Amino acid sequence: MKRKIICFCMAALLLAGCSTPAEPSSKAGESSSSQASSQAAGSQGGEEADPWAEAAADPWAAYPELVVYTVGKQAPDASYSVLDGTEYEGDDEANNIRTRFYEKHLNAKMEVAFSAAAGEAYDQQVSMAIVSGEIPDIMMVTDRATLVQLAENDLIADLTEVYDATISDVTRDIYESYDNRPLKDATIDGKLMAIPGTCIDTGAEMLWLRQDWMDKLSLSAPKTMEDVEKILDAFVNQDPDGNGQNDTVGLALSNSIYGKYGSTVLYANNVFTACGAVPGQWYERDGEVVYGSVQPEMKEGLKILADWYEKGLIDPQMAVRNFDDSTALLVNGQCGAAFGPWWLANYAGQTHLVDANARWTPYVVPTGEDGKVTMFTNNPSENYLVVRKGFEHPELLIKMLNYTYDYTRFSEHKNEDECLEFENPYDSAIYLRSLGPISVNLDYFDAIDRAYDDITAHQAGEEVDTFPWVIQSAELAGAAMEKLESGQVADIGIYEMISYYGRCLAGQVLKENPVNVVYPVFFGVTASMQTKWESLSKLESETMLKIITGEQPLDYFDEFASTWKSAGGDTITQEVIESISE
Amino acid sequence: MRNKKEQGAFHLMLLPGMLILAVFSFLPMFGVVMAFQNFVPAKGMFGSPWAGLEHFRFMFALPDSSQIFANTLLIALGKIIFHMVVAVVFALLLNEIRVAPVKKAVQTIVYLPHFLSWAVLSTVVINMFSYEGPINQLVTLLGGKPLLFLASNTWFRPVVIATDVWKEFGYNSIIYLAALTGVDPGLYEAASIDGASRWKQTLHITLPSLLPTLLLMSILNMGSILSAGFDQIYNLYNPLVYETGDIIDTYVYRVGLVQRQYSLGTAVGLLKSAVSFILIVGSNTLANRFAKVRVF
Repeated sequence: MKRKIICFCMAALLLAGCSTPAEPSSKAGESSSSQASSQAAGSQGGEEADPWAEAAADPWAAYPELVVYTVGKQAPDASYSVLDGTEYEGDDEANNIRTRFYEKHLNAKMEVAFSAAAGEAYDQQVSMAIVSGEIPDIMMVTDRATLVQLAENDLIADLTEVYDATISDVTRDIYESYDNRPLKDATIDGKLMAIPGTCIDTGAEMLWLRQDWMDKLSLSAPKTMEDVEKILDAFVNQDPDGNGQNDTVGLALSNSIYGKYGSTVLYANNVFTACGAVPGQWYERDGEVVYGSVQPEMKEGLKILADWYEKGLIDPQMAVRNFDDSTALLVNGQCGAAFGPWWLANYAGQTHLVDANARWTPYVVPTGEDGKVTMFTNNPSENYLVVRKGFEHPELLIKMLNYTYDYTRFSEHKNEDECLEFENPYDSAIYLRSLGPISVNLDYFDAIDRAYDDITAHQAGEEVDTFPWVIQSAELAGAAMEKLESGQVADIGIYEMISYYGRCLAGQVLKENPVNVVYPVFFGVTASMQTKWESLSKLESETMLKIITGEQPLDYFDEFASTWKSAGGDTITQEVIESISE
Repeated sequence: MRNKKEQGAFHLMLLPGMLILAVFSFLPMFGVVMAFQNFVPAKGMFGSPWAGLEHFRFMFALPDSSQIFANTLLIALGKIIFHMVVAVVFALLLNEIRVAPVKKAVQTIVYLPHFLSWAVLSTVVINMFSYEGPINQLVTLLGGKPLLFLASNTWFRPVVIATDVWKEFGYNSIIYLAALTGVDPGLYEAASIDGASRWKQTLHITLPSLLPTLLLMSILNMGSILSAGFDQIYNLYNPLVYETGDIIDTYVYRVGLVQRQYSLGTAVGLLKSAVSFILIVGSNTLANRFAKVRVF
């Protein structure tokens, strides 16, 4: 008897769980759908044709009835309770500025299937969803391996047709600024399986130097490798901070030494590319696809770094420092030289609060034989949005993408209150891409260059038709420049200084110094990589660090290269070549 | 029969615990079949293709597997031995303190690091052993040359073991302190009447009384012989000391980063459990035969 009651209760619970969510929401949708359809172009046709098919084919049209979709998304790093006491009190992950915007324009309502903090926690949620075979209608995945896994398991929808049918012109144009490389990356067996987020061009990595130290020691701007060495030597041995102690560090360097270009600070990528090497990348060398780290050109770069390390020009403790320890050297004024992209300004922009004399200048160095710096690009797609196979409205994702990156940013509506609010929700108190289902970024490949042009134009007093944040950066940087001029250094806020260094100084040298670009050709994972790559990359990072710190002689590199090839590297290279030719 | 009836209520109280054990410990054990499959999540345990012993073969065929196993064993053994020695000596010394507030204060202070995670403590350790840190200042004071301990293949293992012992010895000594309070005071009285010194009392009364606990702890510790402490090593190592510091767990972690390799992870876990099981049962049998002490 008891058992029967329990069974009944459980069954009832299950049923209740299935049926409740749909009902109350359909009512809320009715009011918004009328507004939305009046705005949407092409939906005036009305009843004659199938309103559903019509809505599906239009980049902007709202659905005739409320559509409820579930989403797997990254959680914001701040809690919604920061909104308490503001007009937005009560907003949450399922109901906020961005979800209401989509609901109003598209008559589609979001429900959160799962939400987890970015990083491992989120990836685990995705794994769990894959394991259970039940993924949300729209979900973000952070790496291509997972995307391939989803496609192989037949869990996600083919978006080729809906993409072509529903994408808006500007959105298509953004992808085209990358020669459609992100879309090719998201294509598996000729089918577009995801909407990729884009990875904008960070520009060249620069050598950031303490200008005040250089002035004090009367050093001129560097150009070649020898110039850099001379400056580092002076920074280490001539007491640039003038405290009478031999306590300054030369070049701050990550213990990974090199890596994804522009993705983080403190890599020595430029030292290697100046020697003709392309470390850690699959690229075409003399018409043949090879792995950069085992090519003979690497030796030249290693020789320079090992020499610098021996002379004490590189932070002697770089092997044991973690990222925070190393960047702290820049902030606290102990170190005056580091490689990094334009946003190294995030660290450099704090030094003046420790030492009021501190001024950083980025230099596009060291140049190679042709007098230019060589950079390499990254995987053009950063992450992916996928749609569950069997979801009735796969085009919804693309319509939301149009609204997020075209309607609110480039259309004539962009200065309406609703769009401004959408672009800067809650004044950045909550990370904007954690708000709705569109958690990927989409921007022009040369977005940084465009921003620099707009900022300089705004500062020159021109009327610029651009994003509010660009104007804001221009004004922050302008404030920093004024205070520098009048000597009120202590009053310069961190963001003012960061905008000045990153947007103005770095933007300018990047524009003035054209660079050579190498486009690596492969970013994925091959079959043998799954089992052999870790041993190989362990061998690689161990070898590079040992040669630089002098634990092994330079010629050990040849031994490393041949071990790498015989321990699976050759097989993997073959697989990469096959995978590219497919 | 009567006995059983009286104990019925107790068995009922035991039931929830046994259920939890079954659901969370016994049922998931069927998951070990993943170690013998090429597990594809969407196909599940019943649909994934079988791989036989491939993952185990792969594990042993790794070019650096012998090095990783050696590192794991050496670090784990070092930790087990020094943890026990230091904790016992500390418990004995603490037991000699007769001023209760001092004893309590010392006890509380040495427990503290146990409650901090390695993510936090690693920063402390890295700074202690840096060029400017107190350890190197001491080295220079004694006329030595400053040394990067955490980048040296000679020093990495000792530093890992020493810092872990420092973190845990206070907490580990609790069980020995408890055993010490259980020693019959009459024995000490009798011994002192017989003229035994403090040292003789320790040697002939305290240590023999601690023996069962010591054996029990060593048998249980055998289970962790292939776990050298992921958190600690992951936070302290760098590529320069892969040679002496890379352990099974850190290696598998990095392999898993390349792509989620469920089956390999399970195979490694299964192997670790099998070795631990053999060692626990083996040492329990030995202890039973030679010292008449057994855990189960």
